[in-house]
Amino acid sequence: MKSLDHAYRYAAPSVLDGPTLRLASSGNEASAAPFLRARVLAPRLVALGLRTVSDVVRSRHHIPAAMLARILLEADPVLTWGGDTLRVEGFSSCCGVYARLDLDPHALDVAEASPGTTNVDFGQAMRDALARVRDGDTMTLAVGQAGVALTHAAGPASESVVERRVALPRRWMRGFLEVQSVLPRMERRMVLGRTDAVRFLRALPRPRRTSEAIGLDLRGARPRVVAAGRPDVLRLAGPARLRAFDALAPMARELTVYEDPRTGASTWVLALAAGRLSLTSSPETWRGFSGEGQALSALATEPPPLARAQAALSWQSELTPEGLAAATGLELEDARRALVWLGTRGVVGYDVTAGSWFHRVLPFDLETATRWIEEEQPRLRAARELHAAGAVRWRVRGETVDAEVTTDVVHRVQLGPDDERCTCPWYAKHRGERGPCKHVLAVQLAVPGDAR
Amino acid sequence: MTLLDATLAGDVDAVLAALAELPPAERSASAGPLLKRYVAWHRQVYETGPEGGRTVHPEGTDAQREAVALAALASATAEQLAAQRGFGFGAARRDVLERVAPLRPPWLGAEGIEHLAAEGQLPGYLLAALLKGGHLPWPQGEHALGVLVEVLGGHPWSDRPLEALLRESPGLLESGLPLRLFAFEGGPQTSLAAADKYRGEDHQWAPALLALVASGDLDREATLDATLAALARDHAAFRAGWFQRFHDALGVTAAERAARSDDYLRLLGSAIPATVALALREVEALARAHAVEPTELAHGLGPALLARGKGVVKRAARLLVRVVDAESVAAAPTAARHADPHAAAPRAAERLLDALVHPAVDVQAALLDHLETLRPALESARFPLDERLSALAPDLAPSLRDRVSRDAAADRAREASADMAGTPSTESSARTPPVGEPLPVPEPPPILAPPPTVEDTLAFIGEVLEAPDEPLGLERALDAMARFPERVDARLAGPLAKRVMALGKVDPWAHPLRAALLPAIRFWLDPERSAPPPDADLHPCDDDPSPTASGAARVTERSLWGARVAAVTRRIDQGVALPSLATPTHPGGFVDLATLEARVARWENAGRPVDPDDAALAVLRLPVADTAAMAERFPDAIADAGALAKVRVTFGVEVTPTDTGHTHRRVVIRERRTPDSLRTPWLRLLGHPGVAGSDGLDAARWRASLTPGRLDAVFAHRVRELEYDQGPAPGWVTEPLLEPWARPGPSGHWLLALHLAANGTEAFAMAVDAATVGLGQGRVDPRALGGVVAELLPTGFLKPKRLAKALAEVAAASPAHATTVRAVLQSALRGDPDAAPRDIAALLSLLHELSVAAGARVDDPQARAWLEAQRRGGRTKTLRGALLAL
Repeated sequence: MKSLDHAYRYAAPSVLDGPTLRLASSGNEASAAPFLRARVLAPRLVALGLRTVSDVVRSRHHIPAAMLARILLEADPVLTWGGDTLRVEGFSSCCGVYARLDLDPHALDVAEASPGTTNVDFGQAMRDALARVRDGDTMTLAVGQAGVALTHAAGPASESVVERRVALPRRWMRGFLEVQSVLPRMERRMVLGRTDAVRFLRALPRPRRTSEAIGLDLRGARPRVVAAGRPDVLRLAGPARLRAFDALAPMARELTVYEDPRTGASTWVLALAAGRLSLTSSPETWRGFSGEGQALSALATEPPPLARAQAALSWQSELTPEGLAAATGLELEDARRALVWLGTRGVVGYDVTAGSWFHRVLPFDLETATRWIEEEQPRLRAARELHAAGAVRWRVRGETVDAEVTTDVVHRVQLGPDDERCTCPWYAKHRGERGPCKHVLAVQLAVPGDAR
Repeated sequence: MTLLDATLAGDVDAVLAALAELPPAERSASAGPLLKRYVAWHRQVYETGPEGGRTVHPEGTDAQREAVALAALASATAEQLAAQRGFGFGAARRDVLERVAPLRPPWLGAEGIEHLAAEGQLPGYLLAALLKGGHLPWPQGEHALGVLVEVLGGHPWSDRPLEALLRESPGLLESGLPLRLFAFEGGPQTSLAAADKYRGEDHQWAPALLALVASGDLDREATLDATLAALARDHAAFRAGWFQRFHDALGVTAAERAARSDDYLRLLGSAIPATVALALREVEALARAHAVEPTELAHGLGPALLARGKGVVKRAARLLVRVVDAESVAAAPTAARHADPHAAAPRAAERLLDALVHPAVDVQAALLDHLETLRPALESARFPLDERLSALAPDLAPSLRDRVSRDAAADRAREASADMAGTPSTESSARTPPVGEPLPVPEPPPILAPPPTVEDTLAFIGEVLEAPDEPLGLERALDAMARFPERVDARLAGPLAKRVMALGKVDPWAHPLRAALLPAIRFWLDPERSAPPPDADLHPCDDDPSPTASGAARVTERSLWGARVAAVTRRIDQGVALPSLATPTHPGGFVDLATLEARVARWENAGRPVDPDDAALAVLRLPVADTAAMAERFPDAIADAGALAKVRVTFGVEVTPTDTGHTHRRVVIRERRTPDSLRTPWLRLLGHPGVAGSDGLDAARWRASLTPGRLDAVFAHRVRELEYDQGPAPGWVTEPLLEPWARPGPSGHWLLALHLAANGTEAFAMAVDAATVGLGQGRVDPRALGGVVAELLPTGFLKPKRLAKALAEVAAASPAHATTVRAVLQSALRGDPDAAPRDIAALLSLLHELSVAAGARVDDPQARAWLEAQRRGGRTKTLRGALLAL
């Protein structure tokens, strides 16, 4: 199993030091570490939110074959301060749940701040401290070590650095990056008020098997649990994954349900007085986001002018294709594709509620991770090989492209305006739900954009 | 002798001598090669003996392996050992350790031990040996402590009681280790809770620590503080439970409690329900003793009011109101610091209104009672209680809305219109008529046309192979192949051939129907290099056509499917391009009469006689009204179908008390009218309980497709199985009830009632769906369903709480569904009222809420009579009164 050796370097563990929550930031030289000191205006809510993200990061709803969960448990949440929104995001060790806490400007009374992204230490001591926070407590959030944080980029000189080396498996990294390709497709299905949200979450069945799925009929005033697999029903595999909301649900204003119609992944956003907590769950507990291949089509086409797009990034908390196009002079479609590409490179994330992207740089070795995404995707690599070997023959017929991909056998591929088909078993099995097959990708590589 | 030579010789003494002579740096440098050798000598090798027998053994000798393990143990770092997954510490026998430890190997230290423990590479026996030998100080790291919790007092340590061990172990109590254990949560096997669960009392941590506290060896104050700190960490419920029990066993005194009032108030905000319950109990005691400031108490109770447990919320609300009560305030020693109680009332009211989010009716009722208690104080403070309650009215249980809304009727109308607006858009609810008047059955789904070309057939087969639980797809694939018996272009067939090859390696029992189809596809793609599937006999028991025929002649889905596959493959082999008569033309397995006649005509035009078994199945798959058209041509099939349609099974439950005090319940089939003989092979599956079908989803669906117009025979087959298998049923059992053509008889209603109260999520969800659709379309008879519920309730087979939950889900689908569910519930109130289960109140509560919401009364005379005769007390009595008073 290939992995990315990553070192968390903390000057000290995160602690709740009296009224101050000192979140130790990792001094990764590749990232711009933020510095933030702010008073938290809803201490218990924020503490529960942070703990929930930490719970998700420590959770595992499926043990992938040949993966040592032990390693993954050490992945720490990522914190971004983007000017007016504080975001803490994490990914479960099973690669199937993505959690993000977005704290709105009115949740914090900011004293000093500079934008950036970093890992934050959520050790046992930190979790214990968060569990003790109650309303009425005074709580100050201090990201980075006071007075030292700004010099983190050069690496701390102190001998007492808490350093923890972890091997972040390729699958985990890829999932963390690829989930951003799924989020823009989410469609809002239902909004539940506080009472209905609490009732729904508390009444969620608890299947014996973690992989068991339930169906949710969202067409009425309230969601109803029905059989999974029925038409027009949201399929929720592993409903236990939503139990992360248990502590916060009674304090929420509403719960919004989003669904990706293509894959069946869903995002659940709990609106809080201080911001939002969102959970994105994969279509099945055993399907991590890493294998979904949703970004492959974008990667198989001609790359957009990324440099121009990247130059326009400056820790914006709202980035839209239109805004990016206006700022850079890119075509709208290019700007849209550029954001997808940047998402898979860990440079932007997607906010489902706002319907826009936000700038942040994941504090990992993104160069390696990006290479995995773009070059070491098995399907994409195989497609490139097919294309290079001249295995693709195609012709345009109206709005569709008919193609044959010849290896020892012949696969027939059809690219339509909205979908694609192939005669291979991968397509027969997944019908595009898990991204295109290598034959479709090979045709996409072979056919110039203006030919379609 | 060098170290490596000594390991090669398998000489442990020489290894130790060589290690002693090596300077530490060189010893460390040799660790890598030693570990490589360790791996190599543990590798298994296969050898063929002189007589041809094969033996398997490790590459090295026992002596070599022990020597190299010892050498590695003496020279490697903790990281090296941990990276060598599965490194055997077998060499760490006490005598060996005694000789290795003085060499101070790099891993032997607090950090190394902690690293090994964190990596899960520290065996308990090794830690025990090191500590008992005095080679290590008592560990302080989280992970090593976890291992210690597991082994200290357990088998690897000693048979001595744990309390004695703790006292006798030198320096252990002085090191403060026992209370350090409270700071870590541990894991599934390395926590105090896990350790105590599987040990005898002498070896459990809790009694041992309590004894130390009692004797003064462990500081009581510090222990109590550590316990509360552990509870505040919100460990997982199982692990937090240990601290809750330990806290209770400590027997906290009033003074100790008062000194920790702030801790208990904070614990009210715990995410662990049992911890909140514990904290609330202590806070109640504090309040009784006036040992907590009312303002702080009122503030601290906020999170408890949002708890999940009904009891916790009710008790917290009661306490909150008591705090506001003027007498309580006056009696408090800290009253001087307390603000005006009229100012406290609005704050308390805010929290009580917030707590109305709880879904339970009785909790909401209690909260409303408390708000009424506060009303005078709230009016003094000009708190707009009525307006706030009116705003919350739609979120309350229907029976409580009258209390909070001045215009309850208007609210009901608003709720009804909101429900209608949000009603599922399915036909089941959009036009739901009153009870008893069925919805029109939806238009027949589109015809399932065969793929028109060979290429389409290839793609179609590829798709259906990936959906092996859809037997109709598999059957249509079989038919599609029969329509194109000519040789398929190998290059085009390549992808499918490769996939078929790959699927052939998959466990055939996972999807037996697909597995049986694969040889036919292989033969169709490449008849020269594949053999057709073996012939199978559809009439294995012609001498004994009774459905009970068993043994070699046993009929299962697999055997019938296999025979059908073989029959079609024979036609492919003969190059006969003709369709199968029984291939479904519509979902569910139906065959359209016109299509069947056209298929028969094609056979006749080709001058070939139709396959009688194929034709019999085709007739069974006709809509019931169309079977008469085939009566003359296929009399056996028609007669059999008629016989099967008349199968009636009535059920009962027998309860047998035994000497051991246990009570056994079993389903009894009271009456059978099974056909004596069935000539049509397909029906033997359904004919008798002696014929056991497969339990896979594919087989079950195929079974249901054999007689889609007479599904109650399928349900009867399943119900009969209850006679010997009452385990949790899979969800697919009630799946056919979803189909618009399914008209359940007694068997269908029986199954539905059982599954609505099922424990399994899948069965529950499917049954709710089936009931919603079935009741909405008028196919499920509410009175029949209620009758089955009435029959089953006294037996204990139906759990009222689960059934109430399911029926509430059904009722939530639309107002018309709610009316129908009311009819079910009223029909369920039959029989001896005293025989009703104790928690019948769950069903009565649902009936009450639905009746209030609809503004209706209990109008079924038998249900009223049942209620009037009901003599149970408590909540049942309250609800009985409320229902009769409607």
